[in-house]
Amino acid sequence: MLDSDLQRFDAYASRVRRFRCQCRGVEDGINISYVRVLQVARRSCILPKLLHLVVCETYRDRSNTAKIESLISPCLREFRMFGSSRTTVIILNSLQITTSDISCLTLGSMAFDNRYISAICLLSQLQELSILKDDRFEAKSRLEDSSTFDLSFFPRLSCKKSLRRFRLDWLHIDWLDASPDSGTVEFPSLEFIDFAIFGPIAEFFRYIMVPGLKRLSIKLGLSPSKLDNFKFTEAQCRSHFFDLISRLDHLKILEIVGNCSAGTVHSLSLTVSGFPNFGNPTLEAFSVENAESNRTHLDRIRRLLDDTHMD
Amino acid sequence: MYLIQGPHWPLTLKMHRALLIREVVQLIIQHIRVVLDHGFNLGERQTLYSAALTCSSFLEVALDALWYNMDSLAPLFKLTNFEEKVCHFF
Repeated sequence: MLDSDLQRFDAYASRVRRFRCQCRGVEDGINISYVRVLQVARRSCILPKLLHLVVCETYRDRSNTAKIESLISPCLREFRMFGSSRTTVIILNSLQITTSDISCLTLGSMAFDNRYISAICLLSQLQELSILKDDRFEAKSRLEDSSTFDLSFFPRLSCKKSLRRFRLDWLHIDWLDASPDSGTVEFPSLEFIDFAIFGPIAEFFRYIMVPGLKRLSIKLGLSPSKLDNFKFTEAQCRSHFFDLISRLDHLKILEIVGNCSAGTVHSLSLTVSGFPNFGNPTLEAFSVENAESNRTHLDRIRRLLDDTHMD
Repeated sequence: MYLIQGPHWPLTLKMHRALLIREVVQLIIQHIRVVLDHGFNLGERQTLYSAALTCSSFLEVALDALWYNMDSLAPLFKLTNFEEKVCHFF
């Protein structure tokens, strides 16, 4: 290999800031032989100034780990990975070794367990965490893993004092293994919560403290692809959510969308915004101050509240 | 500098001095790159490639934008003779 080859490669490789890697075996444009040649030439990172990396592992191959690790640059800020459970833990550990500046992490379409939490907790600068389920991707990659999230993970994640945004997208929340006696869990920097889940999420709000929360978005009910026996009752709405809201001084936007089975909330859709200091929400506050922008939603919440004699 | 002769000319065409300011060129290129950030549009890539060939002050900025967002490393490896040599070696 000539130095001129490497110089030419480096001149252009250092311009790449965003890379989307489709691990498709020989078709992904990353021949593992190339990677090894570059590593021999003392280039542990192929793209030295990469800021954003997206990995979609639709084809499982032993060489994928080496390929992905070779793409992790010291200045990487955002990492998104879809479709593998076996490779991901290794990659997450490589992330915290190679780069200390990861601020945005997205993991999708994989079974989530304690090893992930341990690896995530080592990412010291993490501000945004998204854990997603993508049915289309799973169908495409024929993965067998189910996307679950144990509520006991939350206390462990609270060690992430820098976390500002937390998103869970259509995961099954497993409450059974969580310990209700673990006390109150505080996320001091958390400003945005975006949960789309099916499971007893109301229980979650009994023991978390998010004093700086500005936006709370919750979608409840049925997964787009899967029926579930989840029950979200009006009583839960009243006891947990409105108690929670009353404790959130900084909340400006609240979105709750529900679509539950018979015997529970049939349709709950609420969007509230523009409250500099939310205080104790009342039905009048919902309907009067937001009548112009959210009339449809507010009418629906009003009927729900009237039915259950909430005011 | 280009000199164009005509009935009411000579008109001297010089590149505007504003284009010597890197930030100005970056703003121009940014308008093209916004589209690329949302997908890999061959037409926009062609535009960036043309911009890179326009003049030396555009070259680096346009190349940075052209290579900013990639979904394959194949173009990088094609810049070298890796493929030929590596295949032979392995």
